[in-house]
Amino acid sequence: MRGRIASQGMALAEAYPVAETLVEAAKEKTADPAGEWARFQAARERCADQITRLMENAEKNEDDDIRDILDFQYLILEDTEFLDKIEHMIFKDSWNCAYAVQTVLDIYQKKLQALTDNAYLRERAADVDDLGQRLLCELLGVENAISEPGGPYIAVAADLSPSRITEMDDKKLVGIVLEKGAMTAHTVIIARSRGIPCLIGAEGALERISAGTPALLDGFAGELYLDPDARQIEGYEAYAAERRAERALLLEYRHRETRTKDGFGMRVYANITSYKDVAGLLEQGAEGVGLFRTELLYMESKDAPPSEETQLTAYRKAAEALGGRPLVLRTLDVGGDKELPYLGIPKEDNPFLGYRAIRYCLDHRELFRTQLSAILRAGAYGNVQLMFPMIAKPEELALARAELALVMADLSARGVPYDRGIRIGMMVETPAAAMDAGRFADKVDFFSIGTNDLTQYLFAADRTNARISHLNSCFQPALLRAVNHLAECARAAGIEADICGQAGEVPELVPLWVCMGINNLSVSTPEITRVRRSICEADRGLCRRLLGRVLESDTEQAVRQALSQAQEQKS
Amino acid sequence: MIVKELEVRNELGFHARVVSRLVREAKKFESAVSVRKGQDLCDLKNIMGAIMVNAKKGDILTVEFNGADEQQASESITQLFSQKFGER
Repeated sequence: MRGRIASQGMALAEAYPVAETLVEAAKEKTADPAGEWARFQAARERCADQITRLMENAEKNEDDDIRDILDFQYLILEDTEFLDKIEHMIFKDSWNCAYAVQTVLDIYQKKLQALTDNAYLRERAADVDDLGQRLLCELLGVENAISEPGGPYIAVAADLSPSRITEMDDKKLVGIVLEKGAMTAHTVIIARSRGIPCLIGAEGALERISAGTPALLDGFAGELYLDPDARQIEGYEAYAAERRAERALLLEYRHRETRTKDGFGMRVYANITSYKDVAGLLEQGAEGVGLFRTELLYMESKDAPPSEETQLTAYRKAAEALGGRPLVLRTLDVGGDKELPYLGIPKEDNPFLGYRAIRYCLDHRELFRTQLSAILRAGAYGNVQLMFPMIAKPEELALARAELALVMADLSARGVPYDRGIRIGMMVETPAAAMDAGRFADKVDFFSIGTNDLTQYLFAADRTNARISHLNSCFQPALLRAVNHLAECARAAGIEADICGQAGEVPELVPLWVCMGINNLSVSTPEITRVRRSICEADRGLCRRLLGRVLESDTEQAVRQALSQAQEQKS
Repeated sequence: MIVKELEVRNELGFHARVVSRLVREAKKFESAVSVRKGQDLCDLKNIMGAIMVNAKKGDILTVEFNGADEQQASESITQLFSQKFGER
């Protein structure tokens, strides 16, 4: 079975179909109200027990957000008004208990959604929905809580919601196959940052898989093999052995200083989507976070943007866990192919060239200020820095900075602690920003080069379109010259230039970044040690000739040739 | 019946954690504890009732205590308000 490769790697494990169970009650009358009531009470007690257990876990893990949500759900189960309404619907109107539960909780959701002036309470509507699903699953005898297999597994699903994937044990989840999915969907971003191979667009996968089928996911070829044969398994074993050996070799690079052979110090950062990723990246020896994709926080909430407090908690936890290490928060990068239904951004013919990121935020000042305020306040708890995405002209940067100044003044006036000297950077993704880098360099503290978007915009080639994927290559000389130009402009202005796109972790290219004078590379957590090794093995003096040759190249092929020749000479 | 005018003093006003704390505290007593909101009475012993109070910082709520232990109930809820529900 074929799929599109969303995250590379291989996995051999049993396939495990994950049904996105959205349970619905039948609108039917009952002849036995007393029986329905008893059934409801029994389900209610089971749910209360489950929630109590989950709450104990959350307390143990000091997960306050989850604990609060569960506490709220528990109190609904005890709410006498809730019980009265259900009783009424069963005994007076003869509805079956599942339909009664669904109807009453629907009304609660609508009531909460109507609290337009209080985001904290409005956000609870999603928790009522969640509780409803839990009750209905109990009543209708459907499996709700993910009953994960005992060992490693490859999750196969139509699509996976953000809450669903966070419930999965990341020690067991070794692969993901989705029938739908998008390259930049939440699940895919998480899979990539955790190094879990993932295929998307694998149509009909669920139909062909039953739980426990042995499967081999080849995230290099884009294939999922069911009941793999000996030859296929052999291929996997070779890959796994190679990886294990590689990992063992890389172990010593976890806590080594990042310094080139000729003594130039750099840092290897990690790209993350949640404060929960911090423990893992520290274990791999990251020296900070070069990109916190805050939009994931927005995708996790269903009906409204996360409140300032919700955001503050998420950012603060990351900042604290990192100690004094840098935490670069990118402000909301929504639009493009990252949809947030509750923001009501209309469908566009050209979303990548459309209403996204800073363009949207500058038109929605309340939303923007809420985030800026949370970021600034998180600065009181660690080394927090911020950067603006998709800057194309200086006016945007000026407007964004003006908003930041307003929020700072407001926080000062209210005596709320925040970081007054926060470092401010910009993403360089648009060709306009890259060409005019010299004019931007004196207006920020650092550049962070988003090579994925910069490539697609430089070559006017949609990076989700497989037919033109040859244009979206980070070996293109035009891209390399653009990055070199950015590094030169940054150096002239005395600011740092970082790379946070995938090109930063391509082994062959690391010597070029080193030689260009890029300061920091922000990569996915599994690649941290490998990138550090590449940096430690590079020598800027020796790379200079190579860089010269690359920057003089006309074609991608010439670039690759220069790189492989340099590699041969080294070994 | 005891009636008290209590000010919401915490920065964020009513949000999920505050409401849960109020409900848990009110439930410790036999007396009815409710907030008058125009024509309506919001039952503070019920989570959805308490949520619908939807109070902001600076709002003054008319809270009614009615029952055998109304004195103790009013003291304990008043304290919770004056301590800003344990928040900033």
